Amino acid sequence: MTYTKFSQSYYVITSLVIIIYNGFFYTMTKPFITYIGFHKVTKENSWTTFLIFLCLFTDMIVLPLIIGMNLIEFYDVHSYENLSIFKGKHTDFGALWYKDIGYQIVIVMLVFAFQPIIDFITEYLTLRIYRWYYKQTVYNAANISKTT
Amino acid sequence: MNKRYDYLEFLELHAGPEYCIYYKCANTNMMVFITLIFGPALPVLYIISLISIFCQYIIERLTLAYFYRIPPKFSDKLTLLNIKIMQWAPIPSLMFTFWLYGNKQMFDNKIDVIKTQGELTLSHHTFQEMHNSKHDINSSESALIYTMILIAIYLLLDKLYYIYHKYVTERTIDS
Repeated sequence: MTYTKFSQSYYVITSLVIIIYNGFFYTMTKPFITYIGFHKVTKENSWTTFLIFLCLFTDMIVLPLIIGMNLIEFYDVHSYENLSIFKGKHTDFGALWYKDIGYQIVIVMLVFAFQPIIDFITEYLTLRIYRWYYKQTVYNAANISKTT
Repeated sequence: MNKRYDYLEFLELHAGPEYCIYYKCANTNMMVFITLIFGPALPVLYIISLISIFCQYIIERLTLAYFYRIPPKFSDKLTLLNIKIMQWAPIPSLMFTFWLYGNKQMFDNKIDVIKTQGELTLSHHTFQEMHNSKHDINSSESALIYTMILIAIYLLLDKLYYIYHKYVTERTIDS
């Protein structure tokens, strides 16, 4: 019995998809909750926190468990044949799981650990660029139109 | 465009960005959840998590003082929600740990020989085999049982405290 071989690019693409999904969740959750509308800001923030948490939970805990999973020992092989996504090489949390998924989780967590610094740098640069852009275009344009 | 508008616009332009508390809370919750769930499999996550929390503490102390604009005052609902979310962490953690510590390759040294490249190695770690197994429980399994008993006691005490707080303390305060 052989497992379906996924190339290394499969894992790289999966990691990239996870990062893109995370970015998408961060960007979309707040406008979505604001669109629903709540009477209090605290409640709105609570729901936003909860929704982001749920999205991240699915993205960073459920997905790594599913990737490369093989449930061949738990189901009838013939009726299970079509679900090719669950035909990876990890029948349990063995040595191969640590090699493929375990180290990815550690790397993601390391990035996650320094995220406050990354966030700060990103926000600082964004703010600088925004100010520069505003002063160069919007503010000057308004002043020019006012003077002329 | 009047002068007042100019002044507000100038302030808006030079004020710091808004402090997104919901985003930070979700990140912290996620960090704790991942550490608790995958920690028994990857103990290095505990150290990474400690570094993360320390890093977050330092950065947020500094940025709240010097970078962000002053955040509005929120009620304690968000904090209570975070505590409620955290209370669920031991359950998936236990489920994962239970399955992980029963791994036969790691603890019982039972490994199928791989004869051809790409051959699937069966774990022989199923519910049926666990149910039918005749072997004595190993040290990791007994440790897990003790841990589960302790966590069950913790959850029970936690619920008792919650009921006591809800029905006794709050009523006393109200009256």
